[in-house]
Amino acid sequence: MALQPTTLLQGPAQRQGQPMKPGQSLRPGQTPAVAELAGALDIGTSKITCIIAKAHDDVLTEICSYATEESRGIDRGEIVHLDDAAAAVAAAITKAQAAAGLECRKYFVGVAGKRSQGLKSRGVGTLSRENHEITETDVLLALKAARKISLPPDQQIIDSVPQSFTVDDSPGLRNPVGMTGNRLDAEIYLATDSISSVRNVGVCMMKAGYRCESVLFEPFATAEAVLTPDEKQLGTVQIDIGEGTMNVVVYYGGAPRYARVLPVGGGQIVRDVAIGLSTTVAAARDLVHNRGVACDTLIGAMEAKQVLDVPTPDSTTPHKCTLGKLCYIIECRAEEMFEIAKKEIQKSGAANYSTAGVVLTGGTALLKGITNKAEQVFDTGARVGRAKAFTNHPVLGENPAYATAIGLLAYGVRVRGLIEKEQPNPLVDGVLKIYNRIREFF
Amino acid sequence: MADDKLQKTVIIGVGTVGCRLASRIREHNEAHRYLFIDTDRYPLSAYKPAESLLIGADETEGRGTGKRPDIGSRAAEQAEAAIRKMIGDADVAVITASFGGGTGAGAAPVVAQYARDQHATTVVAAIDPFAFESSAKVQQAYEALRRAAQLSEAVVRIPCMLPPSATAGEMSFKDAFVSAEEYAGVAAGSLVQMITNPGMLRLDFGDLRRVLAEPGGAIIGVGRAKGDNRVEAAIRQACHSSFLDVYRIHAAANVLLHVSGGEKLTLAEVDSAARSIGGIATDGDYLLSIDIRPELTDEVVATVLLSGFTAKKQEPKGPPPEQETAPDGAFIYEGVNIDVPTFLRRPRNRYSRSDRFPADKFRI
Repeated sequence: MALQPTTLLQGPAQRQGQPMKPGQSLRPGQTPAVAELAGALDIGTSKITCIIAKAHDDVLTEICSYATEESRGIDRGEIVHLDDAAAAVAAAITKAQAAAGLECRKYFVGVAGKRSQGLKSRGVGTLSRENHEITETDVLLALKAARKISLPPDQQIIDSVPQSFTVDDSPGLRNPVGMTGNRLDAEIYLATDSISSVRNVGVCMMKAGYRCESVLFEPFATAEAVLTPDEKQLGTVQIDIGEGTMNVVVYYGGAPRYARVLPVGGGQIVRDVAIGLSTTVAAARDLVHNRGVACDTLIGAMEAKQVLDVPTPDSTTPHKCTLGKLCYIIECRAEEMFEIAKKEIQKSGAANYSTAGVVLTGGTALLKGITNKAEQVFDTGARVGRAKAFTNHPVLGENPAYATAIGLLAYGVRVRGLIEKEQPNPLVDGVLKIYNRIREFF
Repeated sequence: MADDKLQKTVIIGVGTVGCRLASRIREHNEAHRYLFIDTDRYPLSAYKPAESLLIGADETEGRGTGKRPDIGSRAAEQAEAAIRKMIGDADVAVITASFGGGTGAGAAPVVAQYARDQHATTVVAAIDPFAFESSAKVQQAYEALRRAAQLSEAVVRIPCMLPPSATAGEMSFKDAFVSAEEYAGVAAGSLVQMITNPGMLRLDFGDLRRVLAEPGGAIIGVGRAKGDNRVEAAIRQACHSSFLDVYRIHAAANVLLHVSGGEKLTLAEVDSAARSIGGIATDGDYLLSIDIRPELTDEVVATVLLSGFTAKKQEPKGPPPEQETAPDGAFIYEGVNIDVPTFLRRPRNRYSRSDRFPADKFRI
C-alpha cells in the first residue's frame, strides 16, 4: 500500500503498528496496537539504511521492510551537514514506511564516528546487609558506580555492557545475585562519543520529522547481529568495514573487551583505484565491485595478466590495465586497514582475547578475497558475518552490508526495549536482564 | 611532617592582593609564619607591624607602584636585607601574589629568589589577571610568571575564577570580585595545606615537588561540594573549571588530587575519588592524597594540581595521538598520511608468497 508522505508525518495521536488507510485517524480512547514496531537507522558514509520490523517481548519477530538511500551530509560516520543528512534520513524512512505500509515512530539510531571510543571501567559496591547476600539492587549500584568516570568535557557515555563481576576474591562471575560476600566489583565496557555528534544525530532525526528512540553504539549492534554466542565467548574480532569508517570490536567471555572506530574504509579502496588507474570514482567503484580481489592467492599468474578496460575521466577511449594491477592496489589498502586494526588491538592489550577468528561485515566484506586477507594479517580464521540468526530475508539476511542495521534493531529491542516492562526474557541472560532495568536508572 | 617543620613554613603575601590572599590562608592554617610585603602603606596597616614590611617607600612614598612591575622589582631589591631577615631559616616559603599588579608581578619573583637563596623550598602561587583585563596586563602577568618560574622551584597559577552566574550577568561586580578572591583563597589555602600537611593518605614533599617542578608551572583547580556525591561533585568542579578546560586536563603529565573532608568522609567516597583521578590521568601517573580536617563537617574540598603540559604531547583520553587528524581531515597514523593510496607508500605485499604483482610489472 503506497502512502502519501503527508500521512506519514501525522501527529502523535496516530498509533504506531496499525496499518493505515488514507484519511484514517485514531479515535480517542482506542486501544493501542498489540504489535510493537521498531525501526533502525544506520546512518553510514555512503548509504542510509532504514529497517522497520515487528517485535514481541523484546525479540524481533518479523522484518516488515527495508530501504536504503544514498547518504548526503555525512563524512567518516559523522554528520557534517545537518539539512542534507536530515533530508536523506527522511527519504530513507519514507521509503521504508511506504514499503511496509506502516508508520513507525521510534528509531534506534547507530552512532560510530571517529571520535567514538570504548573504555573499561570498574565499580565497587559495598555489601552491608546482615546476611551479606547480593541482591539485584547491589548489582545495580555497582554497575551504576562503574559508569561514574571522568570523561573529557566533550564526551558522553552512549552505551555500556557489563563484562563480569567480582565478589570478594572470586572474579569472572556473570551473575552474582544470590551469592554472599562483603564486596562486589562490577566491570563494564563503556562506549563514549562526542556530545556534539550524538546531539547532531538527535537534531538530524528531529529535522527529518522522527524521534530518535535511542542512540546505540554500532560496533556492539553489529556484533549482536553476526557473532554467535560461541564466538563472543571464545574471543573474536568483529570488523565492520563501511565506506568511511571501520568499526573494530573484540568480544571475549561474552562481553566486549575492546571497541574502536577507525577512519579508514572501503571508500579508500575505491579512491586508491581511481588514483592508481587514472579513472573516475564511479568507474573505480564498478571495477572494485565486479573485478576486485583483495588477496593475490586467489588469482593465478595467467588470470593476473588479463587486460581490463578502464574508462578515462574525459570519456575518450578507455585505457588498459591488468587485473593484477587492480588487485595489487586493492590488496595494499585492504592489508593496511587490517594491519592498523591489528596494531590497535595489540596496543590495547586485547590481542590475547582475539584468537577465535575474525568476522567481517559492511559493504566491503563482499569484496572477493577480503576474508583471505584478514586471515593472512590476523593469522586466524575469518568469515563474512551475516545477520541470518535474525532474519531469513533474502537480502537482509545474506548481505553483510545490512548486518549493522539488523543489529541495531535486535540489540536496541533487546537492551533498550520498546515499552517498559518487567517480563522475563528467555534470550537474555541474568546479567543483561538486570542491565535492562539499569537503563531506567540513568 | 614533623611539627617543628610546620613552624618553619613561611607564607609571604606580596602586593595588596597577595597579602589579602595570605591572610585568607591564615584563616585555616594558623600554625605558619606569615609575612606581608607591599609598596602601599594603607592596606599594609591592616597587618601586625612585626610581620609586615613596606618596601619602595623612597620611590613610591608608600602609595603603590601604579601597576608598574619594574618599580615593584626595584623596591624589593632595595629591601633585600629586610626581606632576607624576615624569611629567616624557613624550610618552605609559599609566596602569594597577583601577577596583574605592579608589586606582585615585580617583587614576588625577587622575594622568591631571596627565599630560594636561603635554601627554602619556594613555591609561588600567582593569581592571573581577569579574562577581561587588557592584553598588556596579561602580557605583564606572563612575563612575571616566566621570571618567577626561573627564580623559584615551582609556580602554581590560580585562575581568576568567576562563577557562571557572574558571567551570565546576574552577579554584581563586587560580589563577583569577592567570589573570585574567595576561590583564589581556597585554592591557595589548599595548596599550603598540601605542602605543609601531607594528610592521611600520605604524600611526601618529594611527590609534590615532582608535580610542581615541571617546566611550565602547575595549575590549580579547586572544587567544594556538600550533600550527595559530594566528592565526585567537588572533583568535577575542580577539574572542569573553565580555566582548566583551556589546558586540557588530559594533556597534563602529572595530576595530583588532594581531597579534604570532615571526620565523616567515608571509604566509599575515597574510592570514588581514586577512580575519578584514575579517569583523569591518562597514563596512570597520578597522586592522590586524602586529608581529614575536622572543621569541614559536611563539606569536601577537592584540589587538583596539574603540570607537565609542555613536557608531553597533548594526549587526551579522547582520540589517541595517532588518530590526530591533519587540518584537511586526513587520517595520520604513526606519522603516515593514511589517505595517500597505500600502493604508493608501500612497495610490496608483505604477505605474498612471491613478488608476483609489483605495481609496475603489470603496467601496460
